Amino acid sequence: MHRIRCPFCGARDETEFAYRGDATKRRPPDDADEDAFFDYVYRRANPKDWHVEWWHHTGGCRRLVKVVRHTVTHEVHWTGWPDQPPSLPDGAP
Amino acid sequence: MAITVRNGVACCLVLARRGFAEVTAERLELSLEPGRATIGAERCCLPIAPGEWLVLEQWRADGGLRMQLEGDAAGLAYVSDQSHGRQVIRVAGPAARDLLGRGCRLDLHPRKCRPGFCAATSIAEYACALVQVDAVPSFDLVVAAGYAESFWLWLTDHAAMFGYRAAIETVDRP
Repeated sequence: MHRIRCPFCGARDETEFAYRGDATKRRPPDDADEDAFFDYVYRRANPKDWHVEWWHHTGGCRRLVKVVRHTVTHEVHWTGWPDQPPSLPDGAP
Repeated sequence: MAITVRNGVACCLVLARRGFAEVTAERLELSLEPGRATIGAERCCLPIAPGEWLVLEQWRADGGLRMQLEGDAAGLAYVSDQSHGRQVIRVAGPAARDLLGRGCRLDLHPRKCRPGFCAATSIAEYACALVQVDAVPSFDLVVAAGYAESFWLWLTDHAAMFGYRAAIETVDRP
């Protein structure tokens, strides 16, 4: 069970959130080729490490929250708004 | 413990335009502090998201609160009338915290949860805005109208062990 600190609502239970995937993917420009869009839509890394990801606070303020979580320990290192650069722990890739 | 269906409440959602949250809050006397509602004699305002507030007031005329807020926040915020879309239920009595604690994952202990405490959260998986209105303690719970009956059944089911009195507040609508 995670406790995720929403930047507005404060620490809330995981059940209030919906997982929305990798937060590092950026949409390629409109004129990019098919491979770039295939990459953007489908290809995801599956790291055994720190992961920057989106969680939607569905049961609270209904805002997207950016979360840095470890995929093995589930430790949440940092949370912030979508426009904030994530803070990764020392030694993270 | 008293559980009351509050029908005499007008409810509006105020959405500040991007970059206008502070000035909207100042104009409408809203709180910018998450988790802290402003409770006046007539009006109760809950910050439920950044730049977003739920405003509750005694019902007077259909659309009356919306028109008043729209006038006060002209050019700053959008107002949508939720009076028919939401239902307010009040739970009041010493056992209110224990009852809510059966479905709410927030810390409702008096050291954290005092009059004015508010949150947008889930209670027993019902999306709900919660505000503590006084020290009795009394809580106003705002749920989507379509879920109100089901939520009422959950509340009364779980309140049975504490003992409760159910009431329906009526209001004369012209």
